[in-house]
Amino acid sequence: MRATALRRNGWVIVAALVSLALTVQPFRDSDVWWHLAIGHYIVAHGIPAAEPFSFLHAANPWVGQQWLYDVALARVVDLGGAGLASLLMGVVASGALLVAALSTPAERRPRGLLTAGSLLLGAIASTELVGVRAPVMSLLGAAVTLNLLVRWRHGSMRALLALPPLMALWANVDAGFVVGIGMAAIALLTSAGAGRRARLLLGAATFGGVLATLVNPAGVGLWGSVAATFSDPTLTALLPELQSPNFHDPWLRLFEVQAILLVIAWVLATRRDAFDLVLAGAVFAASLEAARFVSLFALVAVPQLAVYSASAWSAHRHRLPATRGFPGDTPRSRRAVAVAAAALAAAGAAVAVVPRLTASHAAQFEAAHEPKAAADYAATHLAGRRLYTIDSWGGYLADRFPVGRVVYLYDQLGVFGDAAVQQYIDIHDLKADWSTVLPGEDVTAAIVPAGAQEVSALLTEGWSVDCSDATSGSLVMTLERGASGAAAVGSGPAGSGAGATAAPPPCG
Amino acid sequence: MAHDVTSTGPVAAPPPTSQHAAEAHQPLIDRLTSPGGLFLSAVMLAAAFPLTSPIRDPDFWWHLRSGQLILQRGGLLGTDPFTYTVSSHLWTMHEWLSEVMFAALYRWQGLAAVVLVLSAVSWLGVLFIFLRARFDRPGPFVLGGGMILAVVAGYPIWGPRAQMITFAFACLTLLLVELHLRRGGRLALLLLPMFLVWGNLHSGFLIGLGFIALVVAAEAVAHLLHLEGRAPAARVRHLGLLLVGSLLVCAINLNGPSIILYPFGTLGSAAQQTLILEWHSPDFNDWSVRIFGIMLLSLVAFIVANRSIRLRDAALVLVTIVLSLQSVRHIALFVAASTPVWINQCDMLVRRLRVRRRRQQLPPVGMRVVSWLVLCGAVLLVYIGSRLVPAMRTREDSVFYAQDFPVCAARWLAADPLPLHIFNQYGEGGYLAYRLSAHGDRVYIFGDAALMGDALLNTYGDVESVSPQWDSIVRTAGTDIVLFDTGAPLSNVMLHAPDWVEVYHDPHNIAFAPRDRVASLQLPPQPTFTAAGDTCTTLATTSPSQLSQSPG
Repeated sequence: MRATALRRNGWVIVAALVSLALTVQPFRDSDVWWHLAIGHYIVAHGIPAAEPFSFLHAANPWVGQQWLYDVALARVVDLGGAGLASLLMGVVASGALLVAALSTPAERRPRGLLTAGSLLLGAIASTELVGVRAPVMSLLGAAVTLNLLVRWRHGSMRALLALPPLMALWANVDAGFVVGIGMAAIALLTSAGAGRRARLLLGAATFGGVLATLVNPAGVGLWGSVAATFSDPTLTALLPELQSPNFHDPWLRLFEVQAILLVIAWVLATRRDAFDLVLAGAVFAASLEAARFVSLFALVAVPQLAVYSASAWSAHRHRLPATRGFPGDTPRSRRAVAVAAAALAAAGAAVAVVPRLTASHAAQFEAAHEPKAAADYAATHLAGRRLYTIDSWGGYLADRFPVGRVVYLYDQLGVFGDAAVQQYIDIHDLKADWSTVLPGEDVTAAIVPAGAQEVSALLTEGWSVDCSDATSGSLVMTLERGASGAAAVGSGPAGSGAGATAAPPPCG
Repeated sequence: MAHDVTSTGPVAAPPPTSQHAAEAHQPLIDRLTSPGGLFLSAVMLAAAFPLTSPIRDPDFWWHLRSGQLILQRGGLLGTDPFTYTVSSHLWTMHEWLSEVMFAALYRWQGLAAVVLVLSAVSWLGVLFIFLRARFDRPGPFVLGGGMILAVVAGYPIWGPRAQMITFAFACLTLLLVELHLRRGGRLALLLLPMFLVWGNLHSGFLIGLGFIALVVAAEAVAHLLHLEGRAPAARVRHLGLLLVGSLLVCAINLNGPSIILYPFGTLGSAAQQTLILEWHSPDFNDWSVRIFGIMLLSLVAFIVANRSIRLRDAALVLVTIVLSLQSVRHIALFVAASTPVWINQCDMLVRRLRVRRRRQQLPPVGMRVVSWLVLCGAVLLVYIGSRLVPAMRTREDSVFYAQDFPVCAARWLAADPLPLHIFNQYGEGGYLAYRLSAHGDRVYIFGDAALMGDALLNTYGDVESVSPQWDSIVRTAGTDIVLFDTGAPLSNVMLHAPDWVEVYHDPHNIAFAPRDRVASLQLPPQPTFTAAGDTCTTLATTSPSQLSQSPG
């Protein structure tokens, strides 16, 4: 019996190890930089009451909702650099998938290979939304909650004891704790056949979980902050993750494939569980509204796809034409092939992961994706001047310039308030009064993507290009005081900014 | 403690109840005037409401002008007469017959005839869906409810446009295919002449061929696996032959046999799918798209609950869901293919859950007929009065159109004695071509994205997004004047660009000319917009919030 369990779980564990090749990622999400900055700030000064980096007047108080994640991230990066953070967050993501994969009722547990395949499909489908980012912690929270609920549904009342502390921890790490509460509520609503005592206990544990979420620096205000973030149309317009998925992206096709396979498995399986159907349906609907939930769907679908595919297969395999085994197909040869395949896969994953953990890889990635050289230039030549940049680079500048309040805004947009965000949209999207935004804030320097429309616009206002960071594709632009209109255009294009006459010098 | 929703295996579609069968054999008058018949009649008439509107499609205008030129010249145009950028490109006029039809209708009764005919074509598509849904004899209220949901779900894409021809033909294709698979007969031969016409009307004929191929493939698999609900093998074989025949018939086209491959160019163009909004994925944060989401999710829920679906239906649902999630314009295909499945699945669920219905005593036939006439007459009158007539009466130079198209700017440009090269917004090129091509003016780009080519689309995208090369792109192309929407990023930057001078503005558009050439262009002065009752005066002197959004 133990050997069977080992064989079954062995495949799943190997799959989880292989999935590290997808989940261990460099600092791809630009939010990581302001998380790092605020983590360091909290370590030094405690949780701030107001936004600490920007020269804008933040309309809302700082809700340090992810403070624990921020501090942990800062500590890990201080300890082992970006590589260690990448590795740990990859382990968290793969661990979440593993916990989810093992969250199946014992009597319906499918063959290990099937679960392993489902786990890998889930890992591929969620690749774009994992890495070093706070929502990955919510994936782990969701997986643990799922596991607890499955255990509760199969008679373990003790599992519920873990729900309130889990929620207390989760609420201090990421706003996704709301998902955990929602999962418990779905379990409660779809468990009409469960005993009254069991439902009462789940209700009490859920309520306890809700109360436990209040143990955080913002108290009740945490819930208001989460609600405001998800219901603010201005933020939705700016943050692609809060928008509907773009199914022209190939990775979202995998999400689609996963959903289609799950529906087919549901239809063909011999028995379905209302909790599974409602949970997956709700998360799928949420994913259509906001792409950030795609990874949650991938996670929720992992155990279901395995269980229902197994059920469908055993119910309908008789319809398929009979096949003969390969010559030499014996249990021993199968075992040998399995061990070899597992070893090969694990070795492949290691080969893929290890080079990503080096300091040089992290530095190269940073230089290619963030305006590193441009920020170096600004630190040397533009010290103390307010810097305009796009929201996704704002976090990086917050990390590079944590003192002096020279940074514009970054993707913790809720704290800045709608007026500041609208002002940013005015210049970023070149609305009618774009030209008044930067003078109004006394901004005379900018770090912007070389192809951005802001470049053309600023050139018409007399700004000039100081230098070019070709590695990240960014430009440093400045406006010399007193300059206006075409008179101040130096290295810029003739008249209106196009067709620059001379290439700007490199920033490095 | 795990709770089964059901523990039965997949089953065949349950047969219609005896009550449904009895209703099906009632005389037409009884069926029409029963409560269900009254409801269905009202629903089918009301379905015309969202299908009818004035012209919203920016491409309509260049289609109309192309049709006029085809009629004038007596043949296809060969190259594009509208642009100064790609006028040497060979033009595959895959919608030439639609364009001729638009021109003929326009010559007959102006835009009113176009709106009327295209609304009727769209409604016919809905009628074909209705007829296909009736094969499984669903209850009238489920049938009517499903039709309402379908028409509302498709709201983002309805309107008088050439794609509605493809929608209607796709619905007719699926109806004929289903009819053939269920009953056999020779009616499916109609597919051949239908594809002959469709292939010349719109390149969407490929969708029809794809639907047939999908059904044939699904039936072949169903036979291989001995699945229940499959059609007789002989009929599937006939359908396969009809597919081949239809494919050959589509080659009979003024553009030549290559028209069969033409649609793949659009499907494979990344630039088109990035630039053109209706190729984007649906935005489920938009309420009009959420109804489509509700229909999609409820359909999946019904299928999972019933666990009984024909393989060909499953294939159609699957493919149209994938297509509609990719591009909002394909919601029409989802509605065309999946609505009967939604209705059938909903009906199965309702029948499983519902206790036997008590048969009601109907009032005398005379009273029922009067009720039917009053109800249908009332719906029809409201539709004609509130929707159809206002849409048909909307004039080309009305304020309604002036809010969406460069009506006033085109009037101003027409007053210039010289032919101009106009850098324009993508969606407005069609209107400008329609209004100004006879005057000799040429636009930078218009809505035939395949003719424009990916290179031009990407270059246009660079200017629209004000990339640092915008000025050189515009000048190198030989542009005389830039006409863009007021408030667009390019317009807002050009207001500050020292080398460009504003030469015209109205609330919808703003125009700029190169400062060094403005005198030589002999542009008319900025209009004062003071003539009482004039569309442009109304547009210029009324705040946008007070301008009427309703047609007429």
